[in-house]
Amino acid sequence: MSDDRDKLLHIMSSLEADYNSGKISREKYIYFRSKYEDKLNSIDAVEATRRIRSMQGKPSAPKNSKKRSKRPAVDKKKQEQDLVQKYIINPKKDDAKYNKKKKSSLDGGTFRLIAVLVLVIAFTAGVAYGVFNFDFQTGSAPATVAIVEDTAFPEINAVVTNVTNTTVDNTNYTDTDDKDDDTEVEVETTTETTTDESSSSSSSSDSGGGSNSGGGSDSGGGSDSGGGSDSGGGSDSGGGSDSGGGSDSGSDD
Amino acid sequence: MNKILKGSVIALIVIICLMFIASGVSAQGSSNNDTTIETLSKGGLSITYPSNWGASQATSNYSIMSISKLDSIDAAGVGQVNINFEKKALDKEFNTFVNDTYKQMQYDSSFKLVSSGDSVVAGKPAFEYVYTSTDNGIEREHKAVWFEKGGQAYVMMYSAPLDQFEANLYVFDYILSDIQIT
Repeated sequence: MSDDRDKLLHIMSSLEADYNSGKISREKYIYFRSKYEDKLNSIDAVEATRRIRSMQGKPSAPKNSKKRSKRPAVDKKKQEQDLVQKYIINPKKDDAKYNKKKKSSLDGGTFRLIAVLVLVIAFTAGVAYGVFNFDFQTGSAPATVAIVEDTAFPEINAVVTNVTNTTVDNTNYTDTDDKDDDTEVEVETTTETTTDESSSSSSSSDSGGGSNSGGGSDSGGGSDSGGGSDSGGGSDSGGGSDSGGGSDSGSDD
Repeated sequence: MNKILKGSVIALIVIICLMFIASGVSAQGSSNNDTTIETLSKGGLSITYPSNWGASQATSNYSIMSISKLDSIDAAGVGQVNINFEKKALDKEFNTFVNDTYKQMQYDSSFKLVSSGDSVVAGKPAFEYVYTSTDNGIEREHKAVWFEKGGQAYVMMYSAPLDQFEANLYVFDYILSDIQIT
């Protein structure tokens, strides 16, 4: 009995030590401490009863004491087993009773992991589907593939006119100076041609602004020839001839 | 725990790879698909056209939008089979405006009016003109459909070389039957 009490005290001291070192929680400590205190009290009670009985001259242990003493032994064994299982830092993995809580924690972590994976897969699938099926051209101006030159409003040049004006300016000047028998003839001929062409539906032509030609001839022989030709905008030609004995001729415009 | 994590990561990578491969195959497959319908909306008009046609850039200042048949684009990038949508502000009565337009076009010696008549576009009364003209030595046929809206003369003109006109006319007719005027 005393042996049991010593063991119980020893277990309680080790419980105390475990609690102080933080190996067990406060709840467990209180629970087991109260349990061991009850046990200790019962042992003390049995001891007291035994002493009283021995003082009374009665047998120290009743007949059923053996039977009763067997039960604490069983309990003790069980308690020791419980203690070993409770306070061993690394409990057996196959101990369903003490791994139950941890196992459930593992299940929760696995569940969370699976949930995260499902979310990641769903997100990736959604992004991939969107990338491969999104019509990026929608809402933006499509790229042009060609140039279209057809139009219902063509610009048509209705009238095409070709105008050609030609100006010919001829200047003939003949001077015959008859001095004595010496006859000197100077002939100067100038031909000036201006051609102006335009091709436009709205063109105006202007050519030959003016030309003046004059010519006079004086020939001693009394021949006179003078002429002028004019074409174009305006012309003035004049010629005069004077023939006579004199040798003077002129023309003025 | 680590084994589960490793297994999950590997499974995730495999799934992602499979998804990308499947999507790539799917995209490649869809690119080889037959013609689909495209939509183009601009300037109060919304049209649908087959995907073997593409949006083009018209040189006309009056153009709203234009499309060209993809296989008709020449080396210079000019579409030969085109549909051009144009609008111009009316400065006179609509009928007179359209008639004057074609009167002016008659100064072009290559212009030959094939037919003209009334039509309907999206429930609106319209005029329809078919004519030919020569452009750069190539005789082209045109079908123009005119309608009026909001003081503007709208014209949708389909143009194609003479030998391709009839073959692609159904696209223009389809567009006209499906056009939406907003």
